[in-house]
Amino acid sequence: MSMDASQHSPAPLILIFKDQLGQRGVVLDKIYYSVGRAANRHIRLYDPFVSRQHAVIIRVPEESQAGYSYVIFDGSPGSRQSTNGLFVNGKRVSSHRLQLFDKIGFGPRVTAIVRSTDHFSPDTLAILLKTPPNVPEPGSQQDTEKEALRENESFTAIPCLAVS
Amino acid sequence: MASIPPALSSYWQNGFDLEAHLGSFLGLEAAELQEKLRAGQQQLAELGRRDFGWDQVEAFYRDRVGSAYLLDLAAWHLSSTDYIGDTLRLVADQARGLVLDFGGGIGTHTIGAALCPAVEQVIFWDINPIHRQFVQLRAEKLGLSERIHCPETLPEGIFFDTILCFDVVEHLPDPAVQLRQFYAWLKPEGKLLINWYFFKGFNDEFPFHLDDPQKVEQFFQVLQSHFLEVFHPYLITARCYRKWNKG
Repeated sequence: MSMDASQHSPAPLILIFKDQLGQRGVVLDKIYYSVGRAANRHIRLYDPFVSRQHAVIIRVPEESQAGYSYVIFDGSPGSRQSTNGLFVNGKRVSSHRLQLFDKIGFGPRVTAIVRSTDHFSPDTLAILLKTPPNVPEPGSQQDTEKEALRENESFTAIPCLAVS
Repeated sequence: MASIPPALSSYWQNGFDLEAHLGSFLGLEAAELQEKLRAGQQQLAELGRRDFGWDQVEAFYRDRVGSAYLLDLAAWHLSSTDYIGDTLRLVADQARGLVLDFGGGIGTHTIGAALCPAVEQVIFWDINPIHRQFVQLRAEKLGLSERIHCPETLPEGIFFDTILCFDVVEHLPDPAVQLRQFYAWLKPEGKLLINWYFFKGFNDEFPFHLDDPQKVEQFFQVLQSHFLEVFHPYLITARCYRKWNKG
């Protein structure tokens, strides 16, 4: 069962993404994030099945006015949906208010788990938040996979973390 | 005359740069745009006479009006600065937190709300995809793309501090149903900023407006049993009340 993130977790949320670069985290503390494959997205994902502009995440005030939560929308701000869809816990959605332990799918292969930052030790958080190397925007799937493999040589993936 | 809210002053200067945004969106030079604006209202009226029906009202506004409605609305907004300005003053006074602009048209109130310091985010929702694309372009040009969002479907499971619904409900087949939906979407202390004009005009200037007395009565029954009026000094109008014997 999902928990209401804002009610049960005063600590900031962290989204732990897993794509071709491996695993990395993004702490949600801003009012807006664009998510996608294009280089100028706030959260750039590395996978050819991810759209250039795949989703947006916005901060909204809680009903109780006690804090904030985040809502994720499929597609571009101008309403164009992503090609391969946004999924929450296996179900395709056009929008969703993020809750702890939600599993978000960006197309068929890229996932993100919603967690609270206070779940992790400072050392683990530091590893999760390590900035990935900036690689060129993916072209063909084959090129992308080569790029991802190449970049993985210098990127610290932490597959042993229990975040799924 | 009430003072102009500083955050919204650019509306009184150029309608939040509406003509430039329209020209960019439609790929029109200034002179061509002016001609289209002049013709927009007539074009929409002709389309309405041909295609409008209350049994297919959603499809009409979603699929049939194209950019004609955009131009019609733009011409009206450009020629109604005083009226729309007063609605923006109300927005500046009352809007806060998470705002829904329902049926937001060309985005004037969405932009106005997004510029207000007390407003966190604005969800613009309009059934017409051209309007959504246009308002997103306007948000980008005004540097508001982090505060204005134009989803294709309304997000579920979130509640709003403020709902804006200007010049919309008379276009709906059953405004009472929409009003109940607004009530459900608002937070406990949330506010609804709304107007209505259930009248086709003295000379049938507004053929698309609902004026079915039964629907209008149902609207007021919901309004006056679910919402308490908050006084404000703008757009003062005389109202007519009938004693309502609920029993």
